[in-house]
Amino acid sequence: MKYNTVIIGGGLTGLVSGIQLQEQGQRVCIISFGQTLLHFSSGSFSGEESNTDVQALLKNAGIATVAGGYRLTPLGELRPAALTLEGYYHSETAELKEKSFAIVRLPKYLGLPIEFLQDTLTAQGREVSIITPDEVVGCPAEVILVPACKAGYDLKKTYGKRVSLIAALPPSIPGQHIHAKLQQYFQKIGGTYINGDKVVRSTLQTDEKGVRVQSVETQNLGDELIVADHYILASGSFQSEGLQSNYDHVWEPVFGVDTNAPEDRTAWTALDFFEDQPYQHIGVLTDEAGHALVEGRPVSNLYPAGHILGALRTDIQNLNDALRIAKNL
Amino acid sequence: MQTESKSPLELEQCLKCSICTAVCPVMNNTDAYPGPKQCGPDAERYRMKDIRFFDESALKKCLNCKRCEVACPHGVKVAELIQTARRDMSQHGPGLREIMLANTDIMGSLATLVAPIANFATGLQLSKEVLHATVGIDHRRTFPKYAGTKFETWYHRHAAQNQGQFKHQVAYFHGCYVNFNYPKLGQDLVHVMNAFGYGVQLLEKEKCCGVALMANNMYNQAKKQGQVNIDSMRKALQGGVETIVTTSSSCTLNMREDYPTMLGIDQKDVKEHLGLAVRFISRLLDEGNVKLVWKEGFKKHVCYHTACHMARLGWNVYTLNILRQIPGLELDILEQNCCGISGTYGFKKENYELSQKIGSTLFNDIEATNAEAVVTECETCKWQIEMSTSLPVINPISLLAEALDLEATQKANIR
Repeated sequence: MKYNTVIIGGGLTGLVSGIQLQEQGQRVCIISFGQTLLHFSSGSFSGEESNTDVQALLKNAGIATVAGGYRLTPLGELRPAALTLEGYYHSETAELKEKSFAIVRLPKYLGLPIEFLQDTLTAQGREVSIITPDEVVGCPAEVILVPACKAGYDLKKTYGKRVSLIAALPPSIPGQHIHAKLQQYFQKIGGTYINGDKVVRSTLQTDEKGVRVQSVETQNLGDELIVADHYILASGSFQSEGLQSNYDHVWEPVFGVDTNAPEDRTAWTALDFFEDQPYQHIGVLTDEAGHALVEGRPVSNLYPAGHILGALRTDIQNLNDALRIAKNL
Repeated sequence: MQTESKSPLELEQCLKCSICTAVCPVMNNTDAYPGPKQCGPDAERYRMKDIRFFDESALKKCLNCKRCEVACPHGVKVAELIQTARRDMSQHGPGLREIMLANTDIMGSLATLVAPIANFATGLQLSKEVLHATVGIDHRRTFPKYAGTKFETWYHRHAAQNQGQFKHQVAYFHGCYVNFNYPKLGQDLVHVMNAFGYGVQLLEKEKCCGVALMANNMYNQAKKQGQVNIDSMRKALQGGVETIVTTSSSCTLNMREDYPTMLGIDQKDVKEHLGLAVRFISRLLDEGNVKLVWKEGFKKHVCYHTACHMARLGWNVYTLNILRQIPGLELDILEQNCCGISGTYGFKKENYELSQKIGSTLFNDIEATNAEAVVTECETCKWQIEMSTSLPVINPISLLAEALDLEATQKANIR
């Protein structure tokens, strides 16, 4: 199978770069193993600066967002967000604008710590009540919060702008929506999305011009060679198995891209759990032009992007990189 | 120190991320099923210690669609953990209903003999009520029609003698559905392969792949049948066929992936030569080794449904590669959702309502496309979708047969 670009990883970074490339007229194939970090999405894209290109691309795919401002965490705190899905509670300033809140308690649903949320909002001087779904009609509160679960989305459908969604425990419904929309759109514009499959082999070719990726092979497609001019490595960090580790070392399993992991294993973690954890900064290495380094040599057609460069990167950093890489291919 | 995971079916790789629960069609439509994570890797730890933790009534709700395995970011064989627990710990033998539903080939052979009567009888509300009340097959379900002439009979009468003229040969595992219910798909396959310059052979002995037997806990019989199939395929390959093609996604997944793990059948040597015809054809097209002559003025609007087992195989990429090359074909790709039938699951009266509820998202999506037909590789999806929507369902091979000028294509490929 021949493509202009093969993207390994079907999460946010992979899909957005895939859509951009496909719209530029390329033939793109995304290979995705298992679901992605989007399934932990809060309904917002993290980062401080929004990007109009990203927002426009999301909109084309059917994902409407509000730029800038703050999202409300399930624990009742405002955090800066680059983009927030329409329909979610969103504040333009770092302080809650409204005086009164109601939180809807859904029967049998435990995915939102409602009393905790009530306490933190009350501590911020707000009047907070807990109501049942039937009490939405006639509720005097300025803001009515419903957890972003399936039943919460049904309420949102019924009551529209009168209720606002708030992120709940994963698996994330907004994340699933974002993922499904991006995936559908990518396929609609002609992209090939291989789901639930793993790249198990890659072939690098070395000649006088340097090193390049020749082909990759996957678990499900067997001896099928997947060949492309360019490869984007957007396979994520440790949780998505874009990076793997054992007791001795950290490695990137598909191409063996070099990483910045310290040799001393004890330097990977900080003893205090709440400290900044060094392993979250571990990522693969690239040259200045963004080519992956394998055994210190740049691979001329392999571009790492997204969390494989470091787990703490924000969504917007990843998205901007995805667009930048795609536009240069 | 143990540095690598050695747990069976990647049990220890489960991170408890719960992503599998988000994609489980059953859990999202009923409170009666605790979900793949709970019934799979979570409960397995307890079951390993004590069989008392084996809760068959919960595990029976799993329809083995394997969407959990497709979604798992760490390769845990969630559905297989559930199915192996049922295989190894169940104290109940199959009932009459299970035996009837699972023995697709025996039932098919009997019904074919009296096809008009069988179709008439299973179509009667009275017989449906009797089946509902006696064995527990739901009375609201439409039964697949039986064909009067088996595919094998058609092949021996009308096709076998022409196959020798082709330089290349493939063997075809047609499955029970093509043989008893829908010989036309098998005929289309023969015509398409012939048009590409390939003769089609049948296996010396073909048994039902056993997927329905396994779903109903009849593993010994499934293993016997599986061994016959693999032995016949091995023989065919030794006899010079280039590959073994199939048209059913569930049979294919079962024979490729579940034979070794669930039945203990060693088929490594055969596996790489066994696959859906769409895979074989897609690769022929990519390699540029066949010429295609399309029917002039062909026009059709279809939507493609990725059957659950097709998703697990990961081969819809081949089908889409073929469909995207058909001029005049308008193609919508449906969001991946289970149709709810899952083989024999939806035929059981206790599952009927759940089965229809699971499928409702897909049914609505299908109607919303305004397409003329649904394309999918799975026969039980076909029954379910045709019963629950206004659209006919066709296999991609039949669509290809419809779009190609078969005669001209054959001329172009045989010189």
